[in-house]
Amino acid sequence: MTIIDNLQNFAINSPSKLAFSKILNDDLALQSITFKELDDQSSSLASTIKTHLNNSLYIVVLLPQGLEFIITILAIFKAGKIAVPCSIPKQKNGTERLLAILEDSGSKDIICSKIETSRILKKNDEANFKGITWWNYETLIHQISTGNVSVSPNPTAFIQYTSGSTGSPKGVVISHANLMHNSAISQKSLQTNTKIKSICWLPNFHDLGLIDGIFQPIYSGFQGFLITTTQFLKNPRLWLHAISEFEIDYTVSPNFGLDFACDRISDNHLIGLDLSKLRFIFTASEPIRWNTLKAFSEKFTPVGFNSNKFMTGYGMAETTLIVSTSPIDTAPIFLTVDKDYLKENRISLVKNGHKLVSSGKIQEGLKISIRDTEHKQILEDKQIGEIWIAGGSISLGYLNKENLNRTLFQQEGEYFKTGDLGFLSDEQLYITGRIKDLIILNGKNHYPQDIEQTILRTDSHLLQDRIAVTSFDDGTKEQVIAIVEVNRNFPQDSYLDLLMNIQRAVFKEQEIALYDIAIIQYGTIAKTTSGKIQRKENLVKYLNQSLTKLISYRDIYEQR
Amino acid sequence: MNKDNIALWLKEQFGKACKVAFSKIESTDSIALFGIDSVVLVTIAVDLEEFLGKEIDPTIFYEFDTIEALSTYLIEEILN
Repeated sequence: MTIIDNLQNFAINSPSKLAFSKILNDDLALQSITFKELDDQSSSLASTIKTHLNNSLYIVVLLPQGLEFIITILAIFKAGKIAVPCSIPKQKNGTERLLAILEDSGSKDIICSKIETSRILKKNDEANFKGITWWNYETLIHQISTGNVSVSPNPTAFIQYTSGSTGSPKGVVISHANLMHNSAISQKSLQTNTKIKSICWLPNFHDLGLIDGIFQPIYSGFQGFLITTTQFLKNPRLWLHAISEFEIDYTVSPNFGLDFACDRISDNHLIGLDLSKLRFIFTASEPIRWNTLKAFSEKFTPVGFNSNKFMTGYGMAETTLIVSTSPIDTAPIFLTVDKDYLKENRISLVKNGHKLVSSGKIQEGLKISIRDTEHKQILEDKQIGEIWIAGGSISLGYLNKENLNRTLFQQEGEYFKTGDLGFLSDEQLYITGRIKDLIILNGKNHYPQDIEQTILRTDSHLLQDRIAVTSFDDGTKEQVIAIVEVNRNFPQDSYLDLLMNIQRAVFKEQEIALYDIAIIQYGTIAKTTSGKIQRKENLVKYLNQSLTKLISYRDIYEQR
Repeated sequence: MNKDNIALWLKEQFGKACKVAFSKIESTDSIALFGIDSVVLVTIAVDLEEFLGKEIDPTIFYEFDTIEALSTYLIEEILN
C-alpha cells in the first residue's frame, strides 16, 4: 500500500469530492481539484514522465505552492521515480544549494514553470546547469498521454533536503512505507477523516507543509486548502479569514507564524473573523513559547479562540514528521522550571520561573529513549538528555551517507539520534535545546558553517576555524552571534569597518541580521584539542562575559 | 514619484523598524546595520508594494542593501 492507493480509492468512491482548494487572492477566490481530477491528471503526467524523463531516477521539483506541485509529486510516485522537492532560488547567484542537491542526488531532470525557469537562468550562470534538463510543467501537462499508466511506485517516495549546510546538503530518504506509517499516526492524533477540512501556508519543501498540508488530506480523503507562504506573510489575516469562511477544522503553524499573526492583525481587523468552529492549531517544528500561546489566545478570544484549541507537537523530516502530540481539546501542558538550572541542563520545578511547554506524548508505533549525551545510558524522568526515536516512521537515512547513517540512524539497531535535548515527565516530552549546532530562525534551518564561511570571505585577516557562529534564546526570539579572531597584524583602526563588513556580508548572503559580532583576542577562541571549533563553549563564554573581547558590534550599536 | 520620494519613504520605514530617527539614517548605510528581522523586512516589502503599486520581491533588500541602491533600482527597474 502507498498513498497512491488512498488517492485512487477516493477517486473511485467519491470522485466529485474536492481534494484541494488553492486560495487565489484576498477575496478568497478558489481554484479547486477533485480527487478524480487529481488522480486522472497525475496519471496523465506520470505517463509523460515515464516516456520522456529518462535521464535519472530522481526528479527535482521546483514549483510554487499549489495544485501543480501536488499533481507533479503524485505523478512522480506513479511513474516509479523519486521526487526531490526544493525551494525556488530567488536571489541573483542563489543557486548554490540547488546545484549541490543536483550533485548529491545525481538528478538530471528539473520540473519547473516556464516563468521561473527563465527567471532562474537569467539571474544565474546557465553553464552551471550543464547536463541538466529543465522540463516546463506547462508543456508536460499538455502532452497527450499514451493511455493508462501502470502505477509502479519505487520503494523510496521522496528526498527531503532540509538538512546539511548549503554546500553539503543532506537528503532525508523517505520511503512510501515511512509515509504511510506516519500518515496513520497523524490521522489518529489529529483525528482526520473525510468530513474535515484543513488549511496550510507552509512551503511544499518543508516537512510540515508537505506531510501535513498535502499528504494528510490525500491519506484521509478530506479537502485541504492552500495559501502560499508569501500570501500569509503579506496578509496573515487571510489565513484566519479563510478558516472562518470555510469553517476549517485544523491548521498548522510554527511558533513564529503565531507571533507574526498576533503582531500584524490589529484589533480592528478581528471583525469578520470567527474561529469558534476551528478545532485546533497544531504547532511544532520550532521551540514552542508559552508567551506566544498566551498572547495568541488572548488576542483571538473575542473571535472564538481559546487555549484548548492549541495542539503542540514534536517531529522532524528524519522521522517523516510527527513524533509526539498533545491531545485535542486540552490546554497546553507546561512545567515551571528554574531558568538558571535549565541553562545547565538540569530541571528544578519552581513556583515562579520559566514555563516549558510540553510537546505531548509519543505516538503509538514509535519508541522514545532519553540518553546521556556522553555515555548513552538511559535517563530517568526529568533528566535532560538526547532524544532517541525508533519506529516505522524513521527514515532509512541520508542519501549516499552510509557512514553517517550507521551512527545516526542505527543506534542499537533501530534508534535515530535526533540531536535534540529534552526530557520526559509523566510521559510528556519536553524539548529543551539542541546538541547539534543547527540554528532555527523563523522556522527555517540555518547551518553555522555556512555563516562562518560567509564571514571568512569578508577579510583576509580572518582565519579558518577561528570563527564561531552560534545562537541563543533571549526569551522572545533566537539571536545569532558571531565570535571571531583576527590575526595579530590586523590594523586596530579597521575594527569598525570589519564589523560593518561582516554584518553586511551575512545579511546579503545569508539573509540574517546578526545580533552581535565579538572580535576577540587572537588565540583565545574555544577549540577542541584537534582544532575543531567549539560553538557551544564559545557561546557560554559570550553569555557569561568571559570572552577576551576587543570590540563588539553590540557595544557600538547601543551607543548609536 | 521620484527617487527622493522613495528614498525618504524607505528612511522612514527603516527608522520605524529599528527605532532610529530617520534623519540619522544615511542613504549609503547598509540595511544590514539596522538589525531588522527578516520577517519585518517582509512587512516593509508589503507596504512598499502598496506605496508603489507594483509587485515587490522581499529579497530585494538583500540584493540592494542600501537606500541609495534600492531607490535607484526601484525607480529604474520597477517603476519604468
